[in-house]
Amino acid sequence: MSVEVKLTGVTKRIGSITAVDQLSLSIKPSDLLFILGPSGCGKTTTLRMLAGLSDPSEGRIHFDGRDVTDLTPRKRNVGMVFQNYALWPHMTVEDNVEFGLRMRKLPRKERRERVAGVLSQVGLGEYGKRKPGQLSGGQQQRVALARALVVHPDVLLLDEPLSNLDANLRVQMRELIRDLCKTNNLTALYVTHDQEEAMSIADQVAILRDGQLEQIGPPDEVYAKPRSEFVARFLGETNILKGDVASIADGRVELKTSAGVIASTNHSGSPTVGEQVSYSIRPESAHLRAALPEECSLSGRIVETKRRGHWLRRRIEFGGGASIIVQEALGSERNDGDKVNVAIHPHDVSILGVGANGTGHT
Amino acid sequence: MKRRDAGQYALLAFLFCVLGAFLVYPIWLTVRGGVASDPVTGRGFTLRYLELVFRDPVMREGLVNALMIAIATTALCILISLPLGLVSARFDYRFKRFWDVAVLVPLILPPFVGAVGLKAMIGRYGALNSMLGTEWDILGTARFWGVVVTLALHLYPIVYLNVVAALANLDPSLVEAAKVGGATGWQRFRRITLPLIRPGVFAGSSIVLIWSFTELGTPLVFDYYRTTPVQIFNGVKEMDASAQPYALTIVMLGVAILMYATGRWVLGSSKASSSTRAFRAAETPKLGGVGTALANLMFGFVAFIAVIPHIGVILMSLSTPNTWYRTMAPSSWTLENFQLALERPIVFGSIINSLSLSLIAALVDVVLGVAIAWIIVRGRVKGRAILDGLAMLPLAVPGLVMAFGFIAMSLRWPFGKGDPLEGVIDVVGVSPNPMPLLVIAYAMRRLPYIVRAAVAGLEQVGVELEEAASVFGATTAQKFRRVVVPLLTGNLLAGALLVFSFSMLEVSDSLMLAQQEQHYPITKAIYALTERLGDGVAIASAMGVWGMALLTITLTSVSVLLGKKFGAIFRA
Repeated sequence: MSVEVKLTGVTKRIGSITAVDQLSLSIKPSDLLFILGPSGCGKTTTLRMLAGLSDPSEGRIHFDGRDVTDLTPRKRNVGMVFQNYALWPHMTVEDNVEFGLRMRKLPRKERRERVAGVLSQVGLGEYGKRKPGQLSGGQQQRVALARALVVHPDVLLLDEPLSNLDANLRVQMRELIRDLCKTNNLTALYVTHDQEEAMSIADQVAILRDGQLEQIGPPDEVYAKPRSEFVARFLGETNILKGDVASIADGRVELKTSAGVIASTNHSGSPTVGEQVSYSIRPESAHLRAALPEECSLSGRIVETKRRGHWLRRRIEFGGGASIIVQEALGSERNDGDKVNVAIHPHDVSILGVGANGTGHT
Repeated sequence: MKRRDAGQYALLAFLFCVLGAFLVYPIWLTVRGGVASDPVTGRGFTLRYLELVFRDPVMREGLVNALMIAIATTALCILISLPLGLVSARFDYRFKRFWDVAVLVPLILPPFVGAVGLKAMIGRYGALNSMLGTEWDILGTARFWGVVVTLALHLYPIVYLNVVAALANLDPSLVEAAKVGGATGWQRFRRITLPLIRPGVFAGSSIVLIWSFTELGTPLVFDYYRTTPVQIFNGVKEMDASAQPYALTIVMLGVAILMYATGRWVLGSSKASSSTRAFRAAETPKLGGVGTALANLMFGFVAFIAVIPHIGVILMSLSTPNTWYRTMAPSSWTLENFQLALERPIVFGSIINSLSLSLIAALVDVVLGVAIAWIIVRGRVKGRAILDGLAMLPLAVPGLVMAFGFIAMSLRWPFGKGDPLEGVIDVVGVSPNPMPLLVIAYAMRRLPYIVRAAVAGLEQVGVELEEAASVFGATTAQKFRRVVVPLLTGNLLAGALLVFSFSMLEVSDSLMLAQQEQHYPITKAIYALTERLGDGVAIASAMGVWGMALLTITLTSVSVLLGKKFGAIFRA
């Protein structure tokens, strides 16, 4: 069974600090929502309030319309994967996984079947009799996941579950988590500060900053259409530039910038002519070639080149002193000092934080 | 107030009630009794009796003597422990593991039993004088030093354990930084190591200071009567009519709390230094031939001196009564004393009494200790700090004061004459029943040890292990039963063993509260036997040996269970 989760005006104050500030969002049934944000932005606090481990100072939490705000954790039927797994070291793998079923007073036979089933689902069928201390980090992670899944939770909560694993294992595990969520048809909330994890497997991402919701949406949309400088920068490398609105027609905004004239068809607010705005262009959206008819064209000079994995990052300086970073495939024969043409599609130019001097608050 | 906080407040209220009734109330009665103008009814207010304590030259002398005993004992303990601790923590050498355990041996004998052994070894007619052909009355002419040396040899392991724990916690890079900066070995010790381990040294020392200040058994056995604890002990019989023993107890309590508070203040003011934590273990260079010999000599010497009383007690227990007199060793040997020690009704009864009293006290403390530690470490309710302070209070309050308060409690409502619970607890009446009070006294006196053990355990058990249990549907009771208690087993067992063994050898409450033979715990029986002519001393020694065997087993178990955390239990 999957439920809809709804937070309405949830606030958490700890002493004089407001950790979560008037947070309202909802997770559709069977969706995997990622809460992303830097350390201290309130994402773990939000998760703990959903689990019932921490009480909101204000606001309500609903699971499928049922108000769970004042319920203890045991009455919410959630499953949770803790950052450091929180496996009980004195119990075997089986006992750890079985714990929630015992608390729910399920018959012994059913408990055994479900434990065996979920352990084989996470690929640990052989490890039931071991203690957590005898397992590797990745295996412990799977046990934690099995323990959370076996109770058939209404909501699965994951608190930076992969942060203690090495890079290769992280990739494997995140795929497994996605598969398990989808197979079991679970509504899940996943907290992380790793944007790559979010971009890879999330259905929705919510970006939190200082306890407030900055933006929420499908990962591709949030990446491509960041509404603030904070979101744009948090989700990956980007160029933030400033310009004045010269004209607006049919959703196309012409910007006069020190680099030249740039057009944008990607904005969420309603800019006005003459207003100064900030805009974001991702390095991979700017191309070193002649512009196609619908693209804007800027002329500049390569001033610096750095190798970044399989790509080159080139800094292009324009006449007015502005510069942007452009991504180019390895093997290009251009050199620093060369004059180049930069082509950018108006779709890839995101106007940020309209009306707030471009600092990115929405 | 949230619902789950309500549970915590209820638990807190219950704990306050228990500690209030059996810890604060007896102390209050003592204080009240000393300032009441009418000692019989406990009414009115006067400072006359307190003033008398300071006016009376005998009382004044007793106070000065008790203070001098405390200061000298503590200084001697530090002098013994500091070098031993440094060598043990800094170097590796042959037989190190043996000595690490061997230096704890003195803890296994109550000092007043040790005093019997010491008398047999270095007394006027003891083994040493026989060997030298002299009649040098070391203990007779220097009773004060007899008390001090006996106490120091018994108590130095408490300071030693704290020094070792503090050194283990010291981040070695701090000392290495000084080394790189050009400091010599002595400079590093004086400017870096010593200031940083000072909290550990003080923590152990303040326990020793209060312990020796209020020690009753050792001065009694050395016939050193001009000391406050003995004066209070002798005043028990008249306490339902006189305020003087109360007043004397208040003065002792005041001084003890002052000592404790000073210790805490000194600890508090060096908070920065106590916050260092070792991220890696310090390297322990292996000592060469000469170094190893010196280290072994040092430990061997201290251990040898420390076990002289034990050897004396063992020899005495193996001697045919009255045959060890003016000879190096007993002239006739027997194993009969051990058998007699178990056959005599006074002895057998006392062993059964001590076993059952200590067992119940340990169980009571486990339950209280877990609850208190959980509120202190995990609780969100206000009043936790007060609870923490209350649970540690017995460290600052001499056993004698508590015993005194318990007697006063037995005389007051609801236990007094004609009151609803008359006879439930009774110490000085015609048909006394001190057993419930002895359990309470043992449990309250040793509560700090089990609380500290449980707190140390809980701090190491991540809170998320408990949270996981809640998330997966456990009630608070299930969480405790399935997660908290199993994870704390080692610490609780260690704490319970300590409570049990210290209760078995508890002196002041046992001597004060058990007035009739059928209620005697082991220590009171031993004391009564040492006063008895004939085979009394030999049988008392045999009991002492039984006690040593018991404590050896329990302390070794605790040491194995807790490892280096052992020292953390003996902290003020």
